[in-house]
Parts: sequence; structure tokens; C-alpha cells
Amino acid sequence: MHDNIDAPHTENPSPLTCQRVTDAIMDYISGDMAPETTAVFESHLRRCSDCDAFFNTYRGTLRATRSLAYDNIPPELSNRVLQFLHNAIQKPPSANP
Amino acid sequence: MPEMPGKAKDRPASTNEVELMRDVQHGNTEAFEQLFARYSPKIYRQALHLLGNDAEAEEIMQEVFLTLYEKASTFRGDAAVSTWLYRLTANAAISRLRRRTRRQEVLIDDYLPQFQADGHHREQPVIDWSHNLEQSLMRDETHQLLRQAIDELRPLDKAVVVLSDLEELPQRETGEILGLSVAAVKARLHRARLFLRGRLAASLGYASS
Repeated sequence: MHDNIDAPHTENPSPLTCQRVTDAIMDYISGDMAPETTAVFESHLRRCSDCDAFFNTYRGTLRATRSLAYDNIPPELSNRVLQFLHNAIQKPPSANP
Repeated sequence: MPEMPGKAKDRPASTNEVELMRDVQHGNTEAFEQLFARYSPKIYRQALHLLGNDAEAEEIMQEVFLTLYEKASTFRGDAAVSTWLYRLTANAAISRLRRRTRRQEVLIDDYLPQFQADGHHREQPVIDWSHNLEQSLMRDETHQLLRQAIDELRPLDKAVVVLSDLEELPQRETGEILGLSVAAVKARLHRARLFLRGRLAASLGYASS
């Protein structure tokens, strides 16, 4: 394996292909990747501008997804549900015909 | 509901939860209210993320907590109360999503990265638009695009994304809730994230891979 940082990115000198790097992104981000694989993965990103760009946009999309926020439960909605539940719980079971 | 086989290797309930559930079995409304206070915010958020509107999220909360009360006697404590409640929530929401009339189906594969036979990206160069993403996030444009893209996922995949990426639950717990193995959660999550990335790229005017 040649680790020439000046090599054109299309040469893809590492044994890890762009497809395998893409498959492994999730494990890398979640920290589930073995250290030796991590080194090869990072080395590929340094040499391959396509994978580097893909990785950045994958991670950016994930960050954006995680930042999707909804408001907390409105207190009036919470109170309404609780009131509904109290009524339902206290209601006597309907008589069988 | 064939894709929701329910529980497998769940985490057991804590002693406190078991006691509260026992009290609920005996009709203790205070214990019921404690469980409501503890879990309703997350159940509401999960339902809202999955269904996208307050009215249905409210109905899901009613269903879930009524089930909790009615089925408290069958709760054996071999799963955490939270896992059980989130499972009820996900099941109810997924069932509603499946009943919805689907808009024109988006082909997920169209937005996944494509590769050449030798494993290189088919599209070259791949453009790094992550910096533009941060700018559009500030305008809330990306959030809107992402919500639309998440809505285009199949119900179970949407649930995987909501639980894993929005609620940030561990993949093991997501699997317990949805009745999936960790490997299945990971596979669905990665594919869904790739789709969201591709959909976002296309929506922002970049290529889809």
C-alpha cells in the first residue's frame, strides 16, 4: 500500500474503496470502529477528496437532523390529556348487553 | 403489525418503576400521575416527530397511558417501563402512518450514493456543501427540507431515524422498541441517513450523491 498524499484522489491507493468507506461512516461517527480500521479510514479521507466531501456532508446532515427541535409539550395539552385519562379511568365499565 | 414482533432482550424495569406499576395496578392514581409526569414529555415528542401534528400526538398519549393503566396488571417488569411505553407509542404511530394515503412514492434508491465497479464514487467530484448547510440551517430552510425528507421515509425507517437521531436513543434501545436487531437498526439507519443526505443535496441544488 502506498500512502502518497500527493496521489490524485481518483487513484484510491488504499485497500479501502470509496464504497467501503461510505459503508463504514456510521461506525466511524459512532465510535464503533476498531482502531486499526479507523487509521485506514482516516488515511483514505485525507487522500480522497470525494470521500472527504461525502463524509462532511453526511456528518452535516446528521447534525442538522439532530438539531430538529419541536417545542416541549404544551402544559394545556398535558393537562387536557391527564383530565381525559382521569375521566376514562373513573368511568364505570359499560354493562354487557 | 408484522414488523413489530415486540420484545426480545429488554432491559428489566427498575425497582422504583416496578413499585409504581404495582401501585397503578391497585388503582393508585398518584402513581399513575407520577408515571405520566415522567414519560409524557418524551412520548409526546416521539409521537409529534413521527406524526407531525399536535392533535394526533395528543391522541397517541391518550391511547398509550390508557393502555398503561389497563394493562398494568400484565406488566411483569422484564422490560423497562420506558421501553414498553415507547414501544406502544411507536406501534400506534407507525400504524397511523401506514394508514395514511401516501403521496407519490419517493424512490429511496434515487438518492443513495452510486459507485463504479471499482468502488469509486460514480459522481466526481463530490461537492462538499456542508458549509452551505450551516448557513441554510440559520434560515431554517434546511430544517424544513429535512422534515419533508424524513416524512418520505417508510414508517419503520422513519421510526428508526426519530428514535436514534432525533431522540438520540442508543441503537440497542431503538431495536428493543421497534423489535429489530441492532444490526437491522444500523442498516436501516445508515440507509435512511444516506437518503436524507442525498435528498438534502438535491434540494439544495447539488447532485444527489
